[in-house]
Amino acid sequence: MKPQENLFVVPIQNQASGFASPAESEREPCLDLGKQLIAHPAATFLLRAGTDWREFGICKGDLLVVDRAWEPYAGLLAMGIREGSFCLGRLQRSAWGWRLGQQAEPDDEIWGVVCHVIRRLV
Amino acid sequence: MLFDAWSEAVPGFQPGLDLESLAHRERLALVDCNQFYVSCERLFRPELRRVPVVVLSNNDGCVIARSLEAREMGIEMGVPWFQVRARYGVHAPIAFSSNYTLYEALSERVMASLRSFGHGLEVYSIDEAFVQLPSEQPWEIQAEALSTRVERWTGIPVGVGIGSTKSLAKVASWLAKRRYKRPWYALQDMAELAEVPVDALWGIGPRHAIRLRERSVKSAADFVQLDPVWVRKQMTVQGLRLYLELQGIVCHPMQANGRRRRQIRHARSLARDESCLRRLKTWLAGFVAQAAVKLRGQDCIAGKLGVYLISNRFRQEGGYEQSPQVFINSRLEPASSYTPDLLKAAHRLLEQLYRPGQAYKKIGVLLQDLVPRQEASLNWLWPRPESERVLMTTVDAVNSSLGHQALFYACQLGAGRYSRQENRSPHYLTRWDELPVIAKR
Ligand SMILES: [Mg+2]
Repeated sequence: MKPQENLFVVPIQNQASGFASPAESEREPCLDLGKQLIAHPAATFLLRAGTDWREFGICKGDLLVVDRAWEPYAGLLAMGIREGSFCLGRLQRSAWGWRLGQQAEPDDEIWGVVCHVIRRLV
Repeated sequence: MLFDAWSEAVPGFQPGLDLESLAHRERLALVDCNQFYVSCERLFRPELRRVPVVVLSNNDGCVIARSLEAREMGIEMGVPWFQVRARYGVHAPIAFSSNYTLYEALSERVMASLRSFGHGLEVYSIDEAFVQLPSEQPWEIQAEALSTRVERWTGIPVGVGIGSTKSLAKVASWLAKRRYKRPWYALQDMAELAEVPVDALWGIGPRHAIRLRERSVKSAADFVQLDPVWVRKQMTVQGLRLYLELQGIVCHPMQANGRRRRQIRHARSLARDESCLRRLKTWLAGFVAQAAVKLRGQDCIAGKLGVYLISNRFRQEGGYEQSPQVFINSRLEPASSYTPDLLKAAHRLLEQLYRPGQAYKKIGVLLQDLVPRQEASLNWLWPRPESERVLMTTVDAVNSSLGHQALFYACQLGAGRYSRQENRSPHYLTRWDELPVIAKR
């Protein structure tokens, strides 16, 4: 690729003729997957699954989109910290706040909500 | 004298205005990340939460950030890492090489979280920002909202200090951290200034602190009792501004659009002592190229360029005295952001500084007198050829899409790794192949 060629590509508008294309007002920006998957850019982190989690439909190598700003509710898949390492589990409400899964321990900490799992197929 | 001093120190001061009327009714919050670099390193390493951790300067030379645990062990800022290791052995803290890519990325997220409140924001440094608070809600509630949101969104804990000027916000932040041990604090009344030692004040260096103590000025409260004429004479206009700010008069207004850097510095320690001029030139060329990218990123040109050389200061016989740092700069005629111009100037200066046989430890470049390109081109006698700008834009675009150093200058060839970074954490947020991994135990 010759980079200079790219630089001089300027979209030409129909200004001189005074006629706007009829499609002009209907034009919309292209779909942006990043915007669709990431609701809170400042609070969203991407992680890679290092092992399978069959119970959550997650395979080794999947990309997890984890949002720390997402409002928690029961049943959401969330990432947390248990005894100094990351873990996954379903959110459950308890008297002390949110906890992670059945065998939750008292000092579990919720790190963020897993909003999407992205798997590469090719 | 007094009138001149006021108008010099206080923006918007006019004859007939009395200082009382200038006292600020609004409130500013200083939001400051706690042990920022350490917090960044701990974000994806939860097992390190309660363990002593330090971050080292470039080339793993000195301690530049400490966790609270490391501070409690008695490890001082700035001590050479080899001393810490020798002293503590296996009990030495976990040490990270600095990973500025990660720190910058998290800093941007912290600032974006603060920006989401929609208040005026001034990014003051990589881990500090001033926020203009609206007056509808109680200050303490706003402080709590700021610190909760930043920590929840980014995982980085912050402290918040609230006062009516930047200097008072800084005082409040100090009181929160050191005196009351709590995440936020709003300054209630001036009596609290008695709690703050002068050397904790913003911009009071050790030299001024000694002089003030000689006059038995121990606290910030003593400081504001001084004669302003004396303060101006002894401590310049900067001291007078602090003096007034501590009494609620704004001398450092909010600069909402953040900082445009006045100068750009790029300096690094070398992995080994270097005494070969050719290799020094190679390294310097790399730093100049990177500084030039930053310069063009702000759409500025530089009027001056300087070069540093520092010889090894820790390997001298008989102690740690600082050996001379040498620096020279020269004017760029005409001012430029064209990398080949900058390289030529930098290499010329390096040749002047270089002494054969001397071993150098650190080398760097400083771009000064930055002016926006647009402003500068108006009074330019000889406009720079447009082709230069197009070439640089192209090189920067290629490097930013293909990874930096896809295109580089021939004089950068053969540099190799300039810096020793033995324990750098991954670029978790900016590289697809360095994402944090979560696995079952
Ligand atoms: Mg800080």
